[in-house]
Amino acid sequence: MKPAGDAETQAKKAPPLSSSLDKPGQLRPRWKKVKSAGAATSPLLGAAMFSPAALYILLLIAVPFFLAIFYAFSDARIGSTELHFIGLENFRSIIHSPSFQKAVTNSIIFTVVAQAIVLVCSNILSIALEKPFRGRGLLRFLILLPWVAPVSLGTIGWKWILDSIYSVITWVLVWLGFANKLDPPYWLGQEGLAMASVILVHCWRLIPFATVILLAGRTAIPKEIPEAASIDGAGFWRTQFQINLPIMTPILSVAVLFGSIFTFTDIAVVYILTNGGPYDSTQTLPMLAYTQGIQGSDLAAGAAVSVCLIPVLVIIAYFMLRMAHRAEVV
Amino acid sequence: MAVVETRNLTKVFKEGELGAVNDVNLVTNEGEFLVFLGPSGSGKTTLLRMIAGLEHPTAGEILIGGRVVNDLSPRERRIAMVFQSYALYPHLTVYRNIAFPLRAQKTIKVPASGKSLGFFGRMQERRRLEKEKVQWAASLLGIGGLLHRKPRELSGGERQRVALARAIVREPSVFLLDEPLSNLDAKLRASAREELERFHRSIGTTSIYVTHDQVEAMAMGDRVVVLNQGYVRQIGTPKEVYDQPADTFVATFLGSPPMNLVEHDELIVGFRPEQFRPAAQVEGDKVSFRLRVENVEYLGSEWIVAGILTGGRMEGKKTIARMASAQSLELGQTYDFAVPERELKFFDRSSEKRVAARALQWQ
Repeated sequence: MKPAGDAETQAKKAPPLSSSLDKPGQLRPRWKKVKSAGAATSPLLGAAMFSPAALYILLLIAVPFFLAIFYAFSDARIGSTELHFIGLENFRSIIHSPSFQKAVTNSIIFTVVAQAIVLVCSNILSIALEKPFRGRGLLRFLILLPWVAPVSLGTIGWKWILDSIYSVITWVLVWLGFANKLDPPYWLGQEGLAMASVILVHCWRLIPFATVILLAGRTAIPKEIPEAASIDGAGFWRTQFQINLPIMTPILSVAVLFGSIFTFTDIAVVYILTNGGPYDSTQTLPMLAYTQGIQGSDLAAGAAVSVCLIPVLVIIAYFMLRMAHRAEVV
Repeated sequence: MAVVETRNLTKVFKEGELGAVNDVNLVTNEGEFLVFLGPSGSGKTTLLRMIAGLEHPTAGEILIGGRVVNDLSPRERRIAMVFQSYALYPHLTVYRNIAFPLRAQKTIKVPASGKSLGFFGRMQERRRLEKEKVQWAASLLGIGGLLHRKPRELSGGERQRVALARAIVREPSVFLLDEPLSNLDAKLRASAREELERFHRSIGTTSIYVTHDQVEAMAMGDRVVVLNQGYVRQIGTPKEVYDQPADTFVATFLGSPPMNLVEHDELIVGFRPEQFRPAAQVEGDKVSFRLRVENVEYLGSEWIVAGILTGGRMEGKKTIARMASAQSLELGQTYDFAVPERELKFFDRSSEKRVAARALQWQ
């Protein structure tokens, strides 16, 4: 009975809520007006808040993207004021050019080999970093550093490490007796070595990223599952390959998806290390697009090369997302 | 089949901290169903994990089948374990889940007569034998129709059966079960418990079962090990731990509502709520109390009466009675209650250990 009585006395003290709303301007609290004014301007305010992001996407991504597609079907050149639509002519000529063919092969080799190495190494690292030990936090931080550092800065560092005269790798190899002091390996000057060097730098950059992703995937596996496997008699390898990795498939494909796209579209590493040489041996599609379109003044050809990247990336993305989805459904 | 034994088994997770398991000595009987019972944090799961080989003991020895297994990996101990979460492999079908231990331990051997089959023939033969084995385990648990499903397509009860089938398929010498019923809803739990009992009777493997549920422990255990703060408080049959609790912890942990404890000089005297009845219903030698009824709960088959003792030296002590009928009792009224003298349990007040019965002055 008591609570009901309380409610009654309260109702007597305060006027009913509805009556105060019925008389406009009299009892209506001040904040009501402010709120209605806010509601009137809020679409504009929302648009204003949203516009920087929209402008950014529009000006820096959408415009160049459609411009590239447009140029790819034209004869645009730097310095030329005329522009004609020439259909698929650009594509026909680049497909027959040896340097484009070389660039396609190189891009695929870089991406596949680098991703394979990254996957193996980041898996090993994530296993090593999973269990707690002294200094794990510091080690995790150090491993993440290459990813945090700007690409150009890291690559310039590598350019010194791989220098023909001052290479510390050569020094170590000479000291160990694996290389001849008078005929040292030219890391960036020999075709095979240059390619290996570019792959090495790509791996150095991407391993930390993949490690962090895989570490997250690994810690998400309930610890009873590998424990059950060990009781069921599975050793280390069987637990990894038949239990942990299949469970991690979705997150693994995310790491591969991002890694592939980063490698496939990257220009900084090749540009700084080798500039595509020697003899096109490290030429990749983004590098070729830059060389032809900007350095060679043939905007249309450069645009056509970069447009060729799109279907490849779309296919990679499609398969990776499908794999991730299937693993989720499982 | 095997006997599990622990000698002075101790686990300390962090140096300087209290041990999670302290100096545990116990021996199972052949084919026994032994239950580890204790509240959370009592060390029962840690003890089980040490026996399984998932946790390395700080001190002491574990013996399975007479052999010290401290340094053996889980797979070498020939044990099977069912986890609280079941720990089914989510990406494998029920069939592959059950077959996993067979493949991992390479249990299935093609007999010598199969030598002439060639490599692929022997592989086929191995798959056929494996299929037989998996179907045997699945049919034992009534999940033969679910073999092609993935764990996420199963109900809680079905998952538990798959976990049991995966454990039984390799015919282990010891079965370890870590609260396998706690993820099931109350209704399913009762039937799963009964099934588990039947299952144990049919396979007869030595089993160690961890639970915090005293009903499960009483119903299923051949013997119960009551643990608290890493110490074994009592080992005995369900009847022993209930009727002759070793200390006040065991006395209050078992039984719902718990045993009434009242202090009497240097002793603590305990009596079960079901022995605390209106004086008229108690025959023979008895100890009488005056009880002021504070609360009455009707639970269908029984009544729980909570009250406060009045008069005498027990004034103000809260006690609980469990009765077949309490309809005549009224709140706030005082009644004569009594306990048969032979049902009184005596504990030492400082050590809380049980001591021999004695005659006391009650008024």
